[in-house]
Amino acid sequence: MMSGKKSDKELFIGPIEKRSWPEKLVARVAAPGSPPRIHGYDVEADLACHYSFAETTLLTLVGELPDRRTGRAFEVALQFLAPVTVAEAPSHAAGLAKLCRADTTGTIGIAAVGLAEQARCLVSDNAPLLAWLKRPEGRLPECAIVRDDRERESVARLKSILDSIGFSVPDLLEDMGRDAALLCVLYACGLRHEDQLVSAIVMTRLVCVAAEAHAVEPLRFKDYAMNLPPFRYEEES
Amino acid sequence: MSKAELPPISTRIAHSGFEDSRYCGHSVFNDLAGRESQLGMTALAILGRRLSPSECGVLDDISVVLTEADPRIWTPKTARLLAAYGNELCGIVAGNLCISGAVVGPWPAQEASRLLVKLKSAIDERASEEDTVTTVITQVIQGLKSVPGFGVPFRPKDWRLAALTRCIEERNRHHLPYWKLQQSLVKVVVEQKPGLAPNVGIGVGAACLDIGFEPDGLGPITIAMLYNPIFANALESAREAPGILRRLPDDRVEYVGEPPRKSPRAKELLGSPATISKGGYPLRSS
Repeated sequence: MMSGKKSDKELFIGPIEKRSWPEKLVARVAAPGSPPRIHGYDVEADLACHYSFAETTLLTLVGELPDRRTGRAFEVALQFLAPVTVAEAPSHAAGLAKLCRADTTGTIGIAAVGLAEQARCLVSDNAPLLAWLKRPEGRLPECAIVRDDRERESVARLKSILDSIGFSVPDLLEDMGRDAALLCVLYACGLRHEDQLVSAIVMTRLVCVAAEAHAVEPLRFKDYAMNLPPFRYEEES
Repeated sequence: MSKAELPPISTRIAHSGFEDSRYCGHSVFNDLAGRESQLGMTALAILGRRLSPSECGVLDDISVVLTEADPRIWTPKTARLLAAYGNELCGIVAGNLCISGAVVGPWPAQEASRLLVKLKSAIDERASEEDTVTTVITQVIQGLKSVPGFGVPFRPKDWRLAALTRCIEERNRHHLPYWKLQQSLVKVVVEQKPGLAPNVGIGVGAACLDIGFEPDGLGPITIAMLYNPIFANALESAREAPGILRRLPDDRVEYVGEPPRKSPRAKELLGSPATISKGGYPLRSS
């Protein structure tokens, strides 16, 4: 019997069906198939034999292999950036997830999102520095200036290691703060854009945050500092 | 050495007691339970006040109208992809993160609401003078590269806006100031920029402003209202866990990057036997 209804085929036609779309995804970094390649280099037969993990990471982010000095400087910057203590939100939050007995995905996922936010803020707070690095004229931006002696000592250690490698960072100044100095090194290694900088920082910090979280014993709620930091609930009268 | 006291963080949101919990100035068990909707609870956190049933109904209407849950659309598809390993929560998180800072999701309605606020401020008390309203709108939109809340990709018309308009009229909220203003704006833009159709963003922006949301608050409430397409797709994907979503066949990927090449160090060692160090650095054989 004719119901006057449209057939299913007619009903389920919309703008997606009415238009032609590409039939393939586009890959720009990792080539599908075998052997696995990153930016054209064979991972197994070439990169794994001749390059360090840090050098491969830098290749992945910027598209070209670094020379030895740049690769080592990048590695040093990643090592300086790696530690994240439980006092910092990404590690604190990932530890809370583990306390609640979240699975690995939950814990690592929280860590990764938290670290991406933390790194995004770091890069965003230093936007004037990144602009200055493009055209290093005039005074160092306020955000990049060293705040205390501990920072000064850390930057001195960084400079000393870079000197020993023979990696020169012309814009790395004595009175630069630690974060600014490390961003400066990453910039000199070829990381120019926010997404490159954030990716490198997240990558190096993720393992530390994950390890800290994995060390938390699940369900020990009584042992957790519930009131840290303190909150005060207020209601408008 | 004594530790410095940490200053407490003031919160309006909540406190857990023994027999009751407080939520945004209300008793959860005595005031809210059985009397407040889910979106009403969300709105309470944003606005600091409870919505009327009519206002809550508008949020429900918007939430339903915004249900573009086709799994091929970008945001639901993100949810599908990450839920495809069997965990719907990962899909829900992915679907929500997909709109972080993006030009899809809350952004169009938020931008449209900013335009409406700007227009209302420019029109001031002269909203009843039709010619003035038209003049002000014309002046403001002339200075814009694109008009927020306008432009309908892939379709001749945004049927979501038509559906929302019907809902707003049925709730008798079409006489409210921002809704009327968006109608005036639509009239002017359609006349002056032929082919530029209004999208649901302008309607969502106006309806939310009439409830009392600020443009900044529109982002959070829209995220809550966009939950269903993400949730539904994440749930189905996690249940079915299709392998094709986890990994597409290689022949469905076109690689456009660098062609196969040898690294400088591999080239350097070509022709001479190399020893590979544990650290990945090549050592020349002596």
